Amino acid sequence: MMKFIRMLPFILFTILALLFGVALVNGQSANRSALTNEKIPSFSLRSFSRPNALFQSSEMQKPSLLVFWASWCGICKTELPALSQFAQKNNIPLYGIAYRDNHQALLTTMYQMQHQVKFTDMGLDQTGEVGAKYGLTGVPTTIVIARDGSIARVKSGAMTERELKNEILPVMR
Amino acid sequence: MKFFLSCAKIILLACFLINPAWAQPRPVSDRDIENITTDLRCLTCPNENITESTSPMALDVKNYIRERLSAGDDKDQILKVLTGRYGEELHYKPVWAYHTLLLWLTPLLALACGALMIVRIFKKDQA
Repeated sequence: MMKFIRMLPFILFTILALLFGVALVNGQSANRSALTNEKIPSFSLRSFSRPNALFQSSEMQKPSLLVFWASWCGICKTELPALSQFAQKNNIPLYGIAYRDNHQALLTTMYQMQHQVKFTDMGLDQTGEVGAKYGLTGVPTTIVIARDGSIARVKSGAMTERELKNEILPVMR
Repeated sequence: MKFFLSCAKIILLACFLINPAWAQPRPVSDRDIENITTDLRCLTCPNENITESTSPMALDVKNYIRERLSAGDDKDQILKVLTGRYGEELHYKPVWAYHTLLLWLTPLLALACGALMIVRIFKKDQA
């Protein structure tokens, strides 16, 4: 019994180290959103791609990708061409929401990226209200929307090519 | 005279009832918002709470809290929605549930282990 008590701190330490190790390798806690498996929160924004039209969550095709980005975000502008190319190649609808952005700055950025980035539809969330509904903690954030209209995955930060292939394609099939 | 007094009362009552102040949202002070945001973690800069943080996420949360307090919601209702959006990570104080048992019990277990070791050392010294 005494031997067991003497060993207890080491046993506890080993168990904790193993638990932390498993969580670190899986990386689930870092990118698992509270909204995973929930229905997409509804929104209605003025469409940036279609004049005098609304970009509404109810009209989005499923499965699809929804990316929150901003003209003031450098990483977004680096990531978007690759994401758009991937979406076009795999025939996946790509929707965009410019988060806390300015209309004029967005127009300029869209003009600069017109040959590299093609959105199925895009809206401007000037006040951040839609971003808040999606629990946004930063941009870029990519939301993978499953066939049943639920959120399959939320990725904060730019997506790597491996993530695009391994985590988006299986949801789209 | 009585007639005029009655008319004046009715007019005064009508003015009071149609006062636009009735339709105004509840005034919300910064203090009311801070009462909620001080215990919430900014997920963009985790070393700051929502009150201190100036990140867009913190601004979104503060705007939402102001809007809901103004609409008459209470703290619990607001926190429930925010937890649904941002997850339990938003709270500095973890919830008491099955999946957080290890988190709550580890310090107690560590204390118990320490106490046992001290008792053992004392016994050894006495022997």
